Amino acid sequence: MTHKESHFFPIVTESRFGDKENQMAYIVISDREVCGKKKGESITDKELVDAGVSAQALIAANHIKASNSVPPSIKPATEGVTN
Amino acid sequence: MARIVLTNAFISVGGVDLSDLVSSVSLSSTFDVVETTAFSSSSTKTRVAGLVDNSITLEFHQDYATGEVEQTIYPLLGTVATVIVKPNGSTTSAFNPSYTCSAVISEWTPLNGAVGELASASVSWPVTGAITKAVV
Repeated sequence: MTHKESHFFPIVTESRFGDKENQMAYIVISDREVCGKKKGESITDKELVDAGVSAQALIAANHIKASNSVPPSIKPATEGVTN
Repeated sequence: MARIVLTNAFISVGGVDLSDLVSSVSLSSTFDVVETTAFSSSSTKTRVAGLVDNSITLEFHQDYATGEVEQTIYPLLGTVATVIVKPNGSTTSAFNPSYTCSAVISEWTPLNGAVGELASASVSWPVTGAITKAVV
């Protein structure tokens, strides 16, 4: 009888973007204040959740829109490096 | 503390400040009264407070424009939304407490009014859970 041994190695991946990766941002596009933010100001998913507010309803009502103006910065790889 | 005539109440529904489109606000808490009368020599009824039933009643001026009343409330129908009311403007203080509740958006009247009248929508939404009062 052969003995089979299984090893499971949990793979832990650490985001290089930190918390920002999971933090969706929105821009207020309404003339009305949304969670105390005025038109043009940015509001995060966390702020909406903390206020108990539905982002989907606010988007449907044209109060906010998803913002892609603040993507996480990635440094370009350095070319031509020799040892 | 002076008496207050409501002129600048703050009303936020689902995170959106709709104060200038609301003409009436009423936040209500009513406890069930549970009778506890038992045999005794006092011959009076005794009672305790039971469950509390909170609700909020608002009178909106209807507005179908982008980001106004209809567009704000309609997506919330059938959901639970955070409602915040304050007696006098948006700044919370001991003299302008903030009352926050989770209202069940159980009714809405998209069109209501007679000829020559201002289109309005009167709602009474039950609150799920407690009303939280804050003074800072």
